[in-house]
Amino acid sequence: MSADAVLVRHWRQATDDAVALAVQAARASVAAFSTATQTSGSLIQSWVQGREVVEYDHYPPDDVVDRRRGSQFYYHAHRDGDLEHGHLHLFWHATGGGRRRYLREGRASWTRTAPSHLLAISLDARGLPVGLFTVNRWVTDGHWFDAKTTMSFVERFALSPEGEHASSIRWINGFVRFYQARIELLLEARDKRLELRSALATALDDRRLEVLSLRRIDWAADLDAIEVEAARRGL
Amino acid sequence: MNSMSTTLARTLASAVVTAAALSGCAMMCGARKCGGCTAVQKCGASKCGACKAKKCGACGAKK
Repeated sequence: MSADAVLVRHWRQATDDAVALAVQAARASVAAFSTATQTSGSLIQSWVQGREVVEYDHYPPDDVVDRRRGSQFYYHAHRDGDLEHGHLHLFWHATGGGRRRYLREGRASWTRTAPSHLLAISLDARGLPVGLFTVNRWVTDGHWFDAKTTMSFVERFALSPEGEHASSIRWINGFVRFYQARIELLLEARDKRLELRSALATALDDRRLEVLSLRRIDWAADLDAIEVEAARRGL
Repeated sequence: MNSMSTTLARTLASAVVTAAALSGCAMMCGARKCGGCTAVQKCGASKCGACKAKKCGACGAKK
């Protein structure tokens, strides 16, 4: 594979500040990826911690949740194919109106709704991110928001890098920032696919529609591309 | 130049390869969808097959 041409074009047209932020996010995510791999063996192992991976089980078992920031993710594996070992699901805690919901310790806050899905990140068996994809509502439940609103959640998605998952949190915070432009396109493609159906409510519950948009990524090539762009500008 | 991808390659060379996932719950009841932990109604057992499979509408579609 090679660098994502759409991202290369996006960075080429971006402001210096935007490119600098992308470089910063990339550096933070690479450093955290290295720390997690050196400390735990891989990103996957930082959540699995030596256990056998069982289809559909969550790793870590209770997910990684930042209640204050309303952000959540977990890793699991169940999809067939060569692309991935498993994937991360990323969520945002929002009301039906799109406002952030705060979870309080010790309270069953989610009896009526589920966290809303943002995107999934495919990882290979070494923990290397190799793809991004979106899923239909029935897959994860939760409130459904259009691409623009979901993207506003993606922009705010972040967890405080604390505790035993601090390295993977730093990685995911930086990784999501780095790929924001691609994630926006994936969400738009998701919505366009659903627009082909006559009734949105029916489509959102259609078990034949699972993955709605997917993009393979070459993280190393994309890292090279942002460094080239930064160097070209003298950043 | 290209220092981040070099760091990445060096890191990956030492990464542990995680074995493929073992088969999980064959029933694929509604509680085994991909929702976040606080959302799903868990089976109450860590091993699948013990679940009551109250909502099996998803079964056929998933396998």
